[in-house]
Amino acid sequence: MTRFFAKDPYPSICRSGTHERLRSLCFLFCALMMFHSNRLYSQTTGPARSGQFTFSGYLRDAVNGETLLNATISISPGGIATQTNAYGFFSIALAPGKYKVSFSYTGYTLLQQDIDISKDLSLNVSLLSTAAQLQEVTITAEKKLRRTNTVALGIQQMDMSRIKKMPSFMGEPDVLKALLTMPGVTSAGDGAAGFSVRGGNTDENLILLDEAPVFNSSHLLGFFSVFNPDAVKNVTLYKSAFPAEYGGRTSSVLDIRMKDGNNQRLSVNGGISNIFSRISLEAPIQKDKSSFIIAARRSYIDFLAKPFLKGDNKNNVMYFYDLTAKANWKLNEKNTLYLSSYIGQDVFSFGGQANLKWGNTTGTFRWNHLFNTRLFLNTSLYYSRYNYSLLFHSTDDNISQSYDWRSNIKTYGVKPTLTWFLNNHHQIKAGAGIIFYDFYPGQGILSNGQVKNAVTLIDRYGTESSLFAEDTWKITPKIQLQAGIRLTRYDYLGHTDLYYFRDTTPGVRKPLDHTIYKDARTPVATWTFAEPRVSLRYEIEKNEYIKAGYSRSTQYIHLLSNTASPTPIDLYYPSTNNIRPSLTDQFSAGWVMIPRGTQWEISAEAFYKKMNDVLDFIDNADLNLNPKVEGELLQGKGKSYGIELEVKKEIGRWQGFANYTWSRSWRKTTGIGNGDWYRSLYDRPNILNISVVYSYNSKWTFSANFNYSSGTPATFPDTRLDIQGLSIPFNSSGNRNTYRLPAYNRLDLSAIMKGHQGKKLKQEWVFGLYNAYARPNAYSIYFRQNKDNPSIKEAVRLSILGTVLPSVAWNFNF
Amino acid sequence: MNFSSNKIKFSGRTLRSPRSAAAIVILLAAIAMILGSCEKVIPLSLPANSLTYLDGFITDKPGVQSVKLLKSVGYLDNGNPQPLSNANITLTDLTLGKDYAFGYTNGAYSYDPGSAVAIGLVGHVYRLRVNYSGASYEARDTLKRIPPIDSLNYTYKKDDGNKKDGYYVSFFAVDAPGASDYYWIRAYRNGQRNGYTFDQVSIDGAYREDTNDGLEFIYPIRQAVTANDKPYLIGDTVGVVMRSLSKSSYDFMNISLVQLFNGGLFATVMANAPANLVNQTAGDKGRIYGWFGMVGERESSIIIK
Repeated sequence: MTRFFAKDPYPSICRSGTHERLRSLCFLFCALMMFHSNRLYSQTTGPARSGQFTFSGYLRDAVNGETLLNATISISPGGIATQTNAYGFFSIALAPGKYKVSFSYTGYTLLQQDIDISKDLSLNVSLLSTAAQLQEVTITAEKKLRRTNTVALGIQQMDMSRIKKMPSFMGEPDVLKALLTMPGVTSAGDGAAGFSVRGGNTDENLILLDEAPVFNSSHLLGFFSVFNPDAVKNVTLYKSAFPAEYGGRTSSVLDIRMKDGNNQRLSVNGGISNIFSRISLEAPIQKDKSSFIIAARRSYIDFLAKPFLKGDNKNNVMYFYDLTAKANWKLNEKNTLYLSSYIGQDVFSFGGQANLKWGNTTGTFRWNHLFNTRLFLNTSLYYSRYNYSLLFHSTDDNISQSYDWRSNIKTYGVKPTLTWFLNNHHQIKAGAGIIFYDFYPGQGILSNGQVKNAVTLIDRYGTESSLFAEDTWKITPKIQLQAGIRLTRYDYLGHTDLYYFRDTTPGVRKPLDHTIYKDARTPVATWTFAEPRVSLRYEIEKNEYIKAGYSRSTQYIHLLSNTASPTPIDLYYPSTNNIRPSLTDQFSAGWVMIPRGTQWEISAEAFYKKMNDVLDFIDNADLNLNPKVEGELLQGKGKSYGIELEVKKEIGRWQGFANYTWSRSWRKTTGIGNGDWYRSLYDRPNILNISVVYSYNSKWTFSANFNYSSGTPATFPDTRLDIQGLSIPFNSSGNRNTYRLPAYNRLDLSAIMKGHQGKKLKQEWVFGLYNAYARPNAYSIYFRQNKDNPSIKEAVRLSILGTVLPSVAWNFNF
Repeated sequence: MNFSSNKIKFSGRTLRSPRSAAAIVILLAAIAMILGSCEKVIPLSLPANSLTYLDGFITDKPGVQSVKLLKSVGYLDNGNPQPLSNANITLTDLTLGKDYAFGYTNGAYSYDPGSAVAIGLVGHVYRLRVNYSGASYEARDTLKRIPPIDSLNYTYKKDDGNKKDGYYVSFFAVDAPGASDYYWIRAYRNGQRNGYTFDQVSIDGAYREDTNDGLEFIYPIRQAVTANDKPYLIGDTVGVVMRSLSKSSYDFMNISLVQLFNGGLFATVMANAPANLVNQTAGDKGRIYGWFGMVGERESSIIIK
């Protein structure tokens, strides 16, 4: 342990071998919370502060009873505005008197109501969706979590109704595909799993499905995400200045909230497209009190392909499915319970000889408790598991051989979070979290005839504990500050084999010195960090703001992947006695305005990100099922910076956005190239996204997406070593990513036709053209000898999407 | 557009191990089926550089052995690397304490011990010394044991979407028991290296240490001497050459072979093959790339009838 502290590169305030400083900080924190709580209880009976009362309540959809997240409540006179939290709850302190309240939310009709405050007032408010009214195509009411009404920078929110209008891949609306149209978000190319936010790596995104982390967000590589569009309510991406409640990843937080389920009536949604079908059912268990949703999808490309396959291929299996379910019970006015779960699997089997499966399982139990109208507690318990297995079997040549490999990662967590609507100047959020990790790197069994040999890697364990507090403080009517701190401690635990390596030339496989089995499940290596998160917003004039922010974040688990796209068999690995946690500092500043009399939002954000101890790999690293894998790893620095510009219009017959990002992303690792800065895989300096939705009439809606991106960096050979008849590509500079693939561009089109809108059954057809002008964008360029004439050398461009992909989907709802 | 470009190919050298092999192969096939991914040879201008390197594999076969010292050309240049003639190359059998001075003729440095005599002996340690351009370079390697190829056989298979109509050859060998053995396997069609197959490297007849010691070579390696997109035809002479490698020579070949087909969704970052010749001359900055390796070699062939 001391060995690592000695090497500590972080100027962290609470790093100490004895943890005493952390303990004292924790104590202070708890004392602070107790102090606040005591004060709170005393407030429940009388006016909150010098004659003020509390106006609180929940906002819901009038038709299906879904709570509305981040809806805006504004009060006049006084110009006070607040937003509902992740459970649709709001609370405002008001002096006695008469007020006009406006409740607004994207896609919903604005509701105004007069209230008379002479005592604490609690209201349950229902808003009517404009879609539900089926009148006009023009969508009115507008206000949600957007740049003008948040303090922090780098927040982007998308609701499913918006995502469903965008052109989709194979007719399936997709959360992650939509995300890739946002400024600062990119990927390694078509079909690549995962996404990069502001030049970070794909494993640096905390993807939460109802608070449970999701380790692999993709079905069929990167083509579809695991999130069923019919079960998702809201998607929020934090690219910088993350709220203090989130931690454990350094690049972004993608917070996906599932629908609660219709608590008014039975409702069925579904869709059939050329690649898969989905159906969801939601209904009240007890009207207004409890409801559930259950949503399922399955792909059937293997059924469709069967008639075209020959021989053994007829037995090929290739499908994925997922099941998403959630239920909620409102026990009484103060207590609500939620239970949500996700199960998904991808299954591939070829010719009866090879079988590959992977999938996620998550479960979340949440308890919302209202101590009083100003103090809201949510406690979440969650479980998440990612597993894969790979099986080979062959009896060819009369020799029975098989290979069986399986691996998984399991996570258990608990997170209580308290929101305290102190007054109209302070809203405080505080809480704690503990996560227990169990990594099973895997077992591979090779059977050859009667002989079996196994390579078994035993489990690795870790815990991540955190305490956080954050105040959103309206300092003056023009200045707001959101300041928080997150204290985290990570322990790599025993009950496993510990590996110790000798030092060697960086970039060369580290030789193993010795291995020790430590039986006790007690800390082997410990790190503690304090992560400040600060954002400041200044209102220049009405609807024009400047913002600035700083955040620090740390990461203790790492995806072992050295391929262009992560594969389903890559595994997360904890920080160990040999792998330091990575740490990122991000500075950002921005400007946003809504020009007077327009519906346009114009914004600009700049960021600078400094990354420490980013994981990298020696050349030709062996990352799978390798007990000595820590000897294959390198840790280096990274930096990224850029400017994101966006113009957006979310109201009216024409809606859409255009964003342009200029950004760079670099890495520097001793042992890679000659130790200089080199471009990361996600260094794509120029990215332009344009997305337009046009509501032609009540029947037809058209939409288009266009993307232009600089090519992905690549390493090419400048010479070759002709050895024993093989032409081995060689890069004489040794530097990585000095070239670029050709620039990427793609246009997608879609048309939505509303079919018969009956009293009960409502239906629509979605026609799509993905990659409409059939551009074979380069995913990679590789080099080979011509198969027939080895003296000819070839550069080969691989395009994952070689052509235009048409799609048709039929969606229904009753 | 080419739906067949990413056929299932257990022998594919995309793969560094059987696990990633399977996963990648399965997924690529899936993608190709759904999306019609396409590959196209494109014109590309690359800057060209030139390095001095050694192609230095010496076998345990009797007769003439030769190595080449070459000046490399740009990857896409159609020209051949230029032989360098002004070096002195000496092989030393350190176990016997015997020197073999290699002389330059016809683009290569060679030594002829007589048609029945082998200079490569199993278990012996060898040093190759290259004196070139005022500097002296040295590398060492050990010649490892090599089991025989027991047999080759073939079967006719019909087009099933993955495999084309034709004859599929399997080769059979049993790993030598005890200790890790490293092999390099290559297929020949009518005396020429079969450009449709990928050379294989193997540990104990499988892909990983301690999994297959002393056993039959595993299925994917056995049948990697046939390419699914171009199986053999009646009249073809199919040859299989298997070489034994030291651990360091195996690492060199493994990295090199990965670079030969490093495309696709799961391409790894390009890595340079290591070199084992070390410059012994103090203060001299010269480098010679490439590899010196001592290999045991066995071969077998079969005519498809």
